[in-house]
Amino acid sequence: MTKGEKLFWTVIIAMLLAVNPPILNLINEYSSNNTLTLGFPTFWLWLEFWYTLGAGAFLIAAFKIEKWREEENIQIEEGPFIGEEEKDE
Amino acid sequence: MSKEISGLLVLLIYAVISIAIGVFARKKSRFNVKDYVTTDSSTGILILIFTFSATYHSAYAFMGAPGWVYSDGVGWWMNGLWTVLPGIALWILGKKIWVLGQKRGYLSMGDYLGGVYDSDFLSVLVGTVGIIFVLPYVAMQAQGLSYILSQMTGGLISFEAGMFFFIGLIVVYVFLGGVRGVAWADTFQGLWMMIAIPLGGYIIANNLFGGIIPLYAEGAQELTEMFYLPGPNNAITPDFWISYWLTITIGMTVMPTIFLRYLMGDSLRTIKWAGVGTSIYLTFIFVFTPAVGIGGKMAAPGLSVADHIFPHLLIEHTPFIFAVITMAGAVAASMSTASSQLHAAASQATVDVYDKLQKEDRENTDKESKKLFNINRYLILVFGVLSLIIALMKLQFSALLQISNAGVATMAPAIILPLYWKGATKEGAISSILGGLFFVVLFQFFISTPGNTVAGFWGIISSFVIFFVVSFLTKSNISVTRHYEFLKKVFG
Repeated sequence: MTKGEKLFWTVIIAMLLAVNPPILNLINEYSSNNTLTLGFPTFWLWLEFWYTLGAGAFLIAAFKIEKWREEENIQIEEGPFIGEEEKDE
Repeated sequence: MSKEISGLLVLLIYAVISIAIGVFARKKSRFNVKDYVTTDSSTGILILIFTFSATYHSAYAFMGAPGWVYSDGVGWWMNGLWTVLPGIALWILGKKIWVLGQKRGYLSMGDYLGGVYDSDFLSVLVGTVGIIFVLPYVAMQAQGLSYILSQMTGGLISFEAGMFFFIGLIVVYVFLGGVRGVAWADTFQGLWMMIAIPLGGYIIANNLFGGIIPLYAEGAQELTEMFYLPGPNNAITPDFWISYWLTITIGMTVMPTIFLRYLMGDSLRTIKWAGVGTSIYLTFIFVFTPAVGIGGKMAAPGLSVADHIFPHLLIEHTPFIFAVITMAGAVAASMSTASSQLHAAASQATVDVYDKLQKEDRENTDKESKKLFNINRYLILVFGVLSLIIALMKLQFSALLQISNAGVATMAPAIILPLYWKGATKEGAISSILGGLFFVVLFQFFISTPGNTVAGFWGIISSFVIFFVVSFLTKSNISVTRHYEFLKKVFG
């Protein structure tokens, strides 16, 4: 795994941890006393922030990760599959 | 112009555009089964984003989601996880499945599983299970939409007429255009949804409360419990939260309709950028949904069916013509999912069941491909009629629908694990699917699940455990090894 991929997966794992219990329980408790933040529901805003971060990280990773850029150019030739060459011969 | 006529006119314009798309897609058809089922892997980025995203959404996007907020508050947005992750899955899993599809010519989920594990039985099993779960889904989409059609036309369209309109229109454009017709219609419908759903929510909030922020401010005063877990009905508990999003996310990732889209891209570049676009699209579309649910609870607190809140607010609090145009977004949401399902069911019956049962005579020729193409097309008609009959019977499918997504999710280990592990075996795959289905049914109907967890969660856990245990106990499969080695050679 490349450095860029590691960074991407770190953000995704952080997102998964942030939007699930037990971390979410802490946000939930805070939200019960502070229902709104910047005029929006605190609980919803927390989730929306992390989902946007996840989608944003994917967008940046798609631009930046060299390995993915190389993979997108892979062409697959039709022909015998692994192990079938011998059989055909 | 009367409300009834203007509503009918909007529906008519919508129908004409959908059929025109089917006719145009037919002109591009190569009249073979590969083209009819996967566009012969010729779909570009934009179309793939919309067909992938629109297939994810059913009437849920327009009715189910606001209805859920109306009932249980902002905790509904745990569903956001399956709006971000599908795009990532499209790239991470989809690229491997696409590469295998290119090399081996796989046309469906059953075809892929049959090829990876070298088992026609597995292909037929997966195809049959898929068809059983999919047809009632099409019927349910049609039934759910009858309310919308009735509202759009001031009651002019009856339940039965609504069924004919909905299923008839789908059958026409799927029959004509195959998956290309479905994908193009999805793009048209996806664009409609992308505008209609957020805009409808925004206008409602503006008309009723003077904007989104004033709506939330009033909601926080009147309905505080809707702003945190477990919500006013104590429904969204931590165990429900985790078990629900995991089941839905995994189940949706391996739905037969979604799987077909892994094979449709014209390149890996398309798969990657369609994945990125899908994550952004699916996350964006629900931006004002909490406002609709919370605002609806304040404006119409006694609604008997929570899922009707969005169309109810549109009809009551926006100009009628705006309401019907926006509600056509609901028609789009239901139709895009149902058409994909109808197409997938016919494709599975053709590729996974019929073709595999013909194994003695199977030939990979143009003539054979054309024959399968014709069988697939006529199965669209047959399954369309069957769906219509099921819909008109007005049966309750809630139990079947509850287990359908979970049932499909039990196929996840068999589909995903051989991409990463050459120890996966045919016996492991078959037993994990059958065992997982058994536990889904057991927990759904006979035994209470622990805490507030959903039955499907235990079906998935069981299927993964069974898959690993049986695969360790059985002899490794040369076909799986070859697929694994091929992927390793391609991706390193």
